[in-house]
Amino acid sequence: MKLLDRKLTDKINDMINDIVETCSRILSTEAKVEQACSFDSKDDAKNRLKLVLMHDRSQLSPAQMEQMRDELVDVISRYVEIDREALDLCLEAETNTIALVANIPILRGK
Amino acid sequence: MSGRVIVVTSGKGGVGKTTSTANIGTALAKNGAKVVMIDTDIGLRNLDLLMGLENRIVYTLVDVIEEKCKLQQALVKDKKLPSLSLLAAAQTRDKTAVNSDQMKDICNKLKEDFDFVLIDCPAGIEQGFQNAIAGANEAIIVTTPEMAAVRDADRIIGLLEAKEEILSYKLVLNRVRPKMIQSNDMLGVTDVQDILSVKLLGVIPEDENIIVSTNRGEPIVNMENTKAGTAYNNIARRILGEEVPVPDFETPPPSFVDRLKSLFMATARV
Repeated sequence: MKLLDRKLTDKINDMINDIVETCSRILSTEAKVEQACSFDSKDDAKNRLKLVLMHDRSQLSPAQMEQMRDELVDVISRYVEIDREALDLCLEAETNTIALVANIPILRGK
Repeated sequence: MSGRVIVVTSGKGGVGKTTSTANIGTALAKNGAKVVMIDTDIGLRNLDLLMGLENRIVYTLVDVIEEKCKLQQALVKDKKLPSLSLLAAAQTRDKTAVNSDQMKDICNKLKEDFDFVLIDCPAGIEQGFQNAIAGANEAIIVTTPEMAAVRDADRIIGLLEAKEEILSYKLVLNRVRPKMIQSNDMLGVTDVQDILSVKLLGVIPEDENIIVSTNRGEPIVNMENTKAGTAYNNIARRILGEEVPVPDFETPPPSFVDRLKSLFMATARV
């Protein structure tokens, strides 16, 4: 009788483990799917707003951005040889900060 | 007596400047202050409609400026509150009918007789805006939790900062939908404050009763138990110097299960 009991409890335990595992697997994939397709539109709005306000407030015209780009190229070119055309300069909004991001491909050192 | 001259402005149209002016003005008067509201949206006047005074307008702001009547003659008394008056905008003229010095002059005269001169500003940042802010010492910036409205509010704040006569400006966040904020589908109160970094004067939840109140020409602060009416009344009390906390619209209310649980806990303790 005791032996039978032990077997039964083992079985039940196994079953419970199985159920828990399955459930958590389903839940975790579901959570992932949800995250992938419905990121909060609020955060989108906030980041876009921060970026656009950065532009508005700095009052940097496209011409000024272009000038800054050219001047940066000149300065950097004194130290390394870079690909002028591929240089990419823009304002980017991270979660909490706005950054001036420059991507400067270096061809070779001088 | 030297009253406070407050301009209600937003940059973007349709965010609730006129509604806010009508309700804050009415609520201030209900709280005992002597208030005059000036509609500076010349050619597109609407404050008279929201106050239900459209049939009583005889003289307008432009008539006063062109000296066709005395300032006192152009002030229309509210239907209910004797301490509340309206100076309407001319409907058949445009913004060039008034200049900043004339506006400043009118504000200075009115603040001798009233505790509050509340100026309803037109949308935009052109002459009409410049006129509206000319005589003001304080500003209320109305915005909604939408990108375009927040961006325009930021621009307005920049322009107000440049004007040294404006001593303080505060934000009213209008048409807030708590459920959308709670599900992260709308910019929240703290988000907008983060972005604009301006002191908060109040938050008005979206309320269908606003439409009813506009239909009737009766400010919503005169309607009993409305969300927006209460919020506007709280704003008036804050302007008068009272400490009234802003309700939390961002934390979801406790769920049914939570409430049941706390009920059980309470009973168990008893």
